[in-house]
Amino acid sequence: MAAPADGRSLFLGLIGAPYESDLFTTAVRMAEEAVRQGHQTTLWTCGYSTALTVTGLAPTKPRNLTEWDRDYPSSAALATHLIDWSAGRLAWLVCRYCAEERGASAQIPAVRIRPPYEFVERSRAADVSLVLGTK
Amino acid sequence: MSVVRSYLLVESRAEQESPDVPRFFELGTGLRRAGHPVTVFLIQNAVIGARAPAVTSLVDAGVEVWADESSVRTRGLLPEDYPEGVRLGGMPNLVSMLMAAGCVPVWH
Repeated sequence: MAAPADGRSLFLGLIGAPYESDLFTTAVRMAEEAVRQGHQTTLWTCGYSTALTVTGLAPTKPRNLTEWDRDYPSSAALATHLIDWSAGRLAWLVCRYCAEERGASAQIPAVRIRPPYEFVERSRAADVSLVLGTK
Repeated sequence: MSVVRSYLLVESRAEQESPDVPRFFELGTGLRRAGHPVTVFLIQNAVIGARAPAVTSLVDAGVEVWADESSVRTRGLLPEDYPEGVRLGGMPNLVSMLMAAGCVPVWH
């Protein structure tokens, strides 16, 4: 269970193609640890990162031919699990413009689609802001 | 009471991926020489270049340099291969630095 919030807030922007590097892994590791340390955390996805949480993703990734009996969670399942575990301390927000531009508007229920101007508003309002990746 | 500003530079790329990597490290060295506390945290492919001269220059300039142990291990590198002056750490270290008062984080 996550630690109680201590009043600080963190805004993480995640920009770019999710499978180009281990950026997504870094972002969820960072968000998880921030919640664990008691910080109110927002993860905002932009660009192709909006595809991480589309409804078209199954709960698990396609089977690994070298490890047939093992399941690997999809990014959407991982996001849902992380958001549930955070007990309200992690908000996963999806840029509406980026999602619409990429045909990724159908998003899982655990995330919220927000208008692009909120990126600036929310990053300014947070105690700490960090944008991972570049367009 | 004023809060001392410290810079946290998070490098995620290897020098072979981006010519900006050495410039990013030069920024860290310059900030340190200007009197600011500076920490460079190497993560993802950036851990490959921990032995590069640019990283040694950072350490020599008094910049605190960390490498993400998870990134190190997932690339088949060994923690004992890392030079003196580069500390191994994880996400608890990075988030603690990030959330410290006065921290100015920059991602590359």
